[in-house]
Amino acid sequence: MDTQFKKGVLELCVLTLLQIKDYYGYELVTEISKNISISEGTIYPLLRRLKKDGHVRKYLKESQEGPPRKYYKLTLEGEEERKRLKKEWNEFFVKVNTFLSGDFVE
Amino acid sequence: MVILLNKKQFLKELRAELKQLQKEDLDPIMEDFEEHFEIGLSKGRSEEELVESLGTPKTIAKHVKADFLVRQAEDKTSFINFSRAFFAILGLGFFNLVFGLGIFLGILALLFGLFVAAGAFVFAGIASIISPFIEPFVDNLSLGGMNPLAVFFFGIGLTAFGLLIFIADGYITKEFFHMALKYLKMNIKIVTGVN
Repeated sequence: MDTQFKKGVLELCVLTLLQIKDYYGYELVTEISKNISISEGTIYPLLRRLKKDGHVRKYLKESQEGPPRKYYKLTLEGEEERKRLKKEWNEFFVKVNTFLSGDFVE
Repeated sequence: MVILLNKKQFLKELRAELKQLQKEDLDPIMEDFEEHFEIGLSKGRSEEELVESLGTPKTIAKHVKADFLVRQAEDKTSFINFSRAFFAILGLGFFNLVFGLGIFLGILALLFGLFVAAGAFVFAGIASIISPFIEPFVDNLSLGGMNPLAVFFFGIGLTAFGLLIFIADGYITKEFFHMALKYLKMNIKIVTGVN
């Protein structure tokens, strides 16, 4: 898939994962790169931005294996943002598909 | 051939790329990556493997810096801060250099032109205000038979008009930077993958 495409939906993917459960950084990064091949390192700046914008928040949680880990949690604002981005994505998806099927009126 | 760094080299290079950041901004970023290595290694991945999937420190630093500079420009809208953010995002290779820069400079020139025009009006206005007073004493100055009082009030009007343009231009300029900043932020959101 084209890199420009991936960039646009990365934020939506992160917010969607966090809607299901809370993730710690490493886990989130590897989960995303399982499906979308990107430089994992660029997800960390994205997470910082989401945090500064108030879309996610961080908290410490004990782990069985080693020191406590920093988990990311979706906030109410983050959920709003996720809905908005998803709607945008769906609209875009439908438009492109209509176009590809040749089912458009001049 | 790509030479892969180990963990220590990667962290060192990333730190060097981000050296202009304040300590309080840099530390949490470095922590993110240190933790990434720590957990990755504990899960049995090698340092080189982790480095390879993270991407180059340069790419990561570009994203961090562009984001950081936009925040700075938002907190304190100044021409310098704005330009820094603008060029940082150009550096990410996202928007067309000629297109983005052309529009940006075009509007900037227009706003600058308005400031110059305002200055000219004020200057002409002040000249008009004082000319009735100094006319008798200056050889080459003539009101050309116009009423000195009319010239005086015309000058006041002209000065006020110039000042109004000046104030309006100030507002427009500020608004322009705010709007351009929004546009930059929109772009930054899109630019999060690899170049």
